[in-house]
Amino acid sequence: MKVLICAYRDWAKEISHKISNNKNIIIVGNISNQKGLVKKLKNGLDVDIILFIGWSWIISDEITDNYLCIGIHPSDLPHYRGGSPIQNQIIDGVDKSKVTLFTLSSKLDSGDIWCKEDINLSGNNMNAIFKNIIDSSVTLLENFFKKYPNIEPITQKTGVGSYFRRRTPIQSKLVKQDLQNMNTLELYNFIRCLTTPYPNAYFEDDNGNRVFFEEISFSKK
Amino acid sequence: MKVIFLGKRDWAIEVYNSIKQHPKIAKIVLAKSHAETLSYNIKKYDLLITCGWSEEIGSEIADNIMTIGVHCAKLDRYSYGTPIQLQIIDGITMTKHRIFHFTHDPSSPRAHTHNRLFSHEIDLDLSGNMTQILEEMVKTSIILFNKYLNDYPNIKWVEWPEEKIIRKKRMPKDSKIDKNDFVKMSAKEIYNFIRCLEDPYPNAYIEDDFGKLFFKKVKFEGKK
Repeated sequence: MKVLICAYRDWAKEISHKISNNKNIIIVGNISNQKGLVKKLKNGLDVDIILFIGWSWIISDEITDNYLCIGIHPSDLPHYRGGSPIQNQIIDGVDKSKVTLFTLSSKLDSGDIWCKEDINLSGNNMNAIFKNIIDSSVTLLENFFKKYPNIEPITQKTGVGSYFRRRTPIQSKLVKQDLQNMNTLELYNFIRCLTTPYPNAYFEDDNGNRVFFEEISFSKK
Repeated sequence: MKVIFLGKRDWAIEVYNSIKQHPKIAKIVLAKSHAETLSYNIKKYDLLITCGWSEEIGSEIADNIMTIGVHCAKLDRYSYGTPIQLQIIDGITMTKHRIFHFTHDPSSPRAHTHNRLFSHEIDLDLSGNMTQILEEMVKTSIILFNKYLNDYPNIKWVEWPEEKIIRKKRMPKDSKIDKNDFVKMSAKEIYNFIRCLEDPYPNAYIEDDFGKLFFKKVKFEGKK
């Protein structure tokens, strides 16, 4: 099976590197930006699958109509479709979830589902969580490559589940009322899912001064 | 001159590795504990240098060898232990690092320097995180001990004024921030409280029925 990989984030590149020796696939290229993708496909490409890992650019219908485009989404689709799925799950108290391999289509995160793999969202910071995403994604892809083409995707039930917009930096703000109302576990989840490389959680006081929480740990009772 | 260097923390060992090369030192030995210090025939040495030493040395040492240390405070009120933390919590960002005469007086509540005597001082910046402050303290300690050794044996001791205010030594349980206090603190107060308790100190934390949330690293940004 010929595969074109599109990945630019560090964790996505690590997944790409880890699957590069898989005997079921031949990697025909590694793309790290939208311009490179357009250039690569300009004159047509002999490829079975275009695999997008942690890709943020919109993929045109022209590409999704002419190629089998699949992507990894770090949630149990159709739950937590859309932006910031890791943050939204952790803030909601979800620490056991799935990474989902699905077909990219014109509607965001709503394409057919090929397979899923368990993922652990625990960890004091995003580096630890990225490591879990990498491990689960590699397992997910290896299972898929082993089964393909003898595997049929399942239509995603977008009538159920949930959709979120991508979080913005202002949503990392905590005010006095938040500190008062949130328990330690809620604060822990809020802060840890916003550790670097995301806009760190911060408390802003009445004078507009801010303290950013960069590293934390939690000990359960 | 013959010197015993008493220190066990990583940053103190860094200081030792630098000052052991001072030209006035003919012999220097490293002791990492009170017992190890006493294992040397201390009366045969000229000077005991302590660095980052937070325990008392007792009369068995203080009465038998000239002992000095470094203390990072200008005001008398911070002579009772944990001076870095107490000054940062009090909003102090610039202080003095001083060579003090390490004595032993069981009747004095002061830590280490029961007689308020210092010989050399240098500015110490307390505005960074603990890693930066400890790095700064390595540099200032090396400068101070070298200055002392340069001037030895003609050391001039200066007495700093006594204060009635006493800031008591902090204990690990003092790292807990009561939730009610937490919500009343300004961003700067929260920042100072947390940053002075970064590793290697007992981290600041809040606690409730769910558990303990430890704050390990913070950054401050004033209103733009």
